[in-house]
Amino acid sequence: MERELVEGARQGDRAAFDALVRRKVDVVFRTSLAILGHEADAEDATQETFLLAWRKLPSLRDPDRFDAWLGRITVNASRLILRQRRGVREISTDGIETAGGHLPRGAAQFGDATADTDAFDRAFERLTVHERAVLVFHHRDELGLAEIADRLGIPVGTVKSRLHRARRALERAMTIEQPR
Amino acid sequence: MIPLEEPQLAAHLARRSIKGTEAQQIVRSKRLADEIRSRIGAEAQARHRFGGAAASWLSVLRSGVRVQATLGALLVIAALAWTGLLSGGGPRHPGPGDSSPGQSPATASSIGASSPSITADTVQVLTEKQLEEVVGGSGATADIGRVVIADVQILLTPSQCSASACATEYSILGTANGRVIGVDVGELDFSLARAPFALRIVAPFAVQLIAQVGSPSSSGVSMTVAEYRTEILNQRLQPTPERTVPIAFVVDAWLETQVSTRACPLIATIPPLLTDFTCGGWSWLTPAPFEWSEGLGSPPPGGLLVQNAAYADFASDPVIQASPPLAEPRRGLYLIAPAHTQGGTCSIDCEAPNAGSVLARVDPVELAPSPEPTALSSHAEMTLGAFRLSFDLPKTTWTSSESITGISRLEYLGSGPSAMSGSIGGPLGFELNELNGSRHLGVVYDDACSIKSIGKGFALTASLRKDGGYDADLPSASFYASFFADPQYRLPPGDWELTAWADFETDPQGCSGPEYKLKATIGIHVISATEMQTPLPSSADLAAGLTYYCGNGERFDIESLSGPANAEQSADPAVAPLRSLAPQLGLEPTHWWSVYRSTTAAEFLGRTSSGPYDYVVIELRGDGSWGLKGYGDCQMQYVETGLSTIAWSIDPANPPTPGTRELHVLARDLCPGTLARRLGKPVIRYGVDSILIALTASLAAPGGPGCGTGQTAAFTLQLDEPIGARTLIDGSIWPSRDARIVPPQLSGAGG
Repeated sequence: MERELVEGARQGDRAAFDALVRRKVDVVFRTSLAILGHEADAEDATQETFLLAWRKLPSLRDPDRFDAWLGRITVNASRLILRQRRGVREISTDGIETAGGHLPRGAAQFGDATADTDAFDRAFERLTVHERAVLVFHHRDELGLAEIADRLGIPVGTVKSRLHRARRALERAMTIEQPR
Repeated sequence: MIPLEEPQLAAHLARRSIKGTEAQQIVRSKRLADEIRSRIGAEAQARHRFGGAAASWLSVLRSGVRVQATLGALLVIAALAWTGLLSGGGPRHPGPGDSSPGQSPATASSIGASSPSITADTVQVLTEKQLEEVVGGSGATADIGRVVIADVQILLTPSQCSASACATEYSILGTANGRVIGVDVGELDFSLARAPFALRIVAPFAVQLIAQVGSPSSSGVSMTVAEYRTEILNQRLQPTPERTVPIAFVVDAWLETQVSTRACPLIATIPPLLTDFTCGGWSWLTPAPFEWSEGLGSPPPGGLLVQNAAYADFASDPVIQASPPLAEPRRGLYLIAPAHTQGGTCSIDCEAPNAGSVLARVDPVELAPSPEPTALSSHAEMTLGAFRLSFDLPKTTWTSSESITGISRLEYLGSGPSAMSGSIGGPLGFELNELNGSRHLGVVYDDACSIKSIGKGFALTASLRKDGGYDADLPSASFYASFFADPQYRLPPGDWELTAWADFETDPQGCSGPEYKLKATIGIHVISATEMQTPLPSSADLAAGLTYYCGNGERFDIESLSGPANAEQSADPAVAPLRSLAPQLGLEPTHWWSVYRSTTAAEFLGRTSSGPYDYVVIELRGDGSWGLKGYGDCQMQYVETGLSTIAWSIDPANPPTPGTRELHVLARDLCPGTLARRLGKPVIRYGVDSILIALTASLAAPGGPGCGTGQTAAFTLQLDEPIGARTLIDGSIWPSRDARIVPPQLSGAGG
């Protein structure tokens, strides 16, 4: 059924595409929200994702890869929105080091409470969109490396290294953002 | 570094994915889907209308098997390969040397073609409003038989309902007068989404759906023969199991025929229908007029083979001379459906790039110029089946400071039990649309399904409210933000349309039956609060000789304001402080009137950007110099010694009629209980198109009888003449104002 909708939409059937939107809009929004953290930005990214999808659908060769293809557009749209809206420069925390790998004085273990939630969000938003995306796909959506590679259009090896790097970057950022 | 456990990380990421309650999420998803659909629709519309160079994707019909029944001219013409016309040996593919109709006017005239000169940029894609006019709106005669292209939404609506089922009808809602245009869809099964459709007018307010129209061309809806063939060759139209028949296209081309007749080939396997293409004289669509050689000759370069009868059936004023056999090419916009071929490299039917079926000729329609603005109606309604939606506003002219109010009402006119299902928030919503502008807010319904049993006399009402959402990227985002932030429904000056919508289904099982969509639109005019206080046309004459003041300061004749506002240029020594101080006081440096001058004082009035007037009083000081005595906003009031000014308005509970001589009015006063007794003799001046009334009253002692019982007094005024069509003007304040508007609170009393 979904394949038929994708095929119809690919041929320009707006009703079919509309049906796809209704099926996928929540998934795309949640992914965008997880990446961006702001509802308005996520809504914008969701709209941009589907507008881009509509424009580029004729170029989709395999309707069975629609989800992965849409996921890639979602990440790109999120990146675009982040740049446009907030004027935020993406800065990877790769270079952030803490002396000897020790916790800064007063830093607690990552635990519970609102403060931790806020700290996580601030730390997460220090990552690049692609780093955020790879973490979301792997740890929230529980996608395998191959699926993530498919979704992001990068080799599996790159996914592996990016996942590792993103995880380390997030942990480093937590050391900065963790309340003391 | 702080180590992150995987469950914690997953939990945080899951948390970041959720905002709001489940119900809010549902509403949001629906709203997002609607906005996406709307934006895609707008984008497509812009592409159709402005010929933007967007990507060339197509809108298509679904379920082509059923389409084929109506598009009877679509053929399977595998055997045309026999003729060689569909192979490489047929007409050559378009090349650089091919000319399009738009490129060869000289050739056209040399042949003496009589077709109207239609070019791609004359293709009309009608709106609902224009379609409504063309099919007979506003008393116009429907142009029966004409085929038009309209970018409209075809709605599926139930009509006659029995106990078990409803017959369904298709319709288009006109937006000029809210008329319903019936659509005969035949056997077509099509998308209900908004799209350009080719429609044949079959009767007043009745059209037949011919096809959905594709617009793959960069030049808009119409395309050249070469573009059409390119699209076919690109196989974008290849049928799918769900869609065996593609959409049709408008091709701008010359239609001609090869008069030489040919006997039908003696091949028994050719289906009879194929004789439409193979027997008799061929018809062609060509990018330029073609001069035929004797006999069969070569096919025209870049030509598209169409059914033999196409020239006779669709060419404008077809002319075929018997001797020598010659048909004059006819240029036009022809609606073409691809013809199919079989075999070869196609495992299923696929379109033949060199053949098509002409379904219709699309001629320009005469569109009446936009009608002059007429009196706005404050009531609109629409009835569909057993439901009626009405929408009422108390008036159609509002000021930008007023809160606009209105009520929509959905009534069930049937007598038996029924059901209504749809959004949990109810079926009623409101749309806002700026005329001559781009600001627009549509209705948002949640995606949930609520079912309600209804019966005779059932009705729902809803007060006008703000619906919809907006994109923060839009140029008008600041308007939307302030509009939604305002607790009242206020609009900036301009012409607007307010539309009440009702969207629901009557399926007792819930939200899967035929959909009802009813709309009722009222146009309103919003003027700025300042503009409302601009003197009305004849009121300045009517007020001549009346004395006003600013609530304090000097009195002056209102005619003081009739001259040029350039007092600041005067050599009068009293003006010097005005010139020097106005900028320091934040007042306009120019456009001042001198309204009062004595040996010791002068008063000036100036127009402001924020309100009607400022005043400045200059006095002569003991040292002989002129200096500022006071300044401020001036709300000019009619003044009579010893009396206070009474601003008034028409009592909306007792509105006047043209024959009214006893006028019911309202006025605010601290002692309303005695106001009628304290009224001074009203000033009533009758003009050609307006009646000006200025009221005053004697002062009441605070705390006396009639005081403190509310602030509004109702009383009547006796007029010497019936009102007729004249506007009633409150001249108690200046600028005088339409008495339908509630006046401001005044202060001060005549000295």
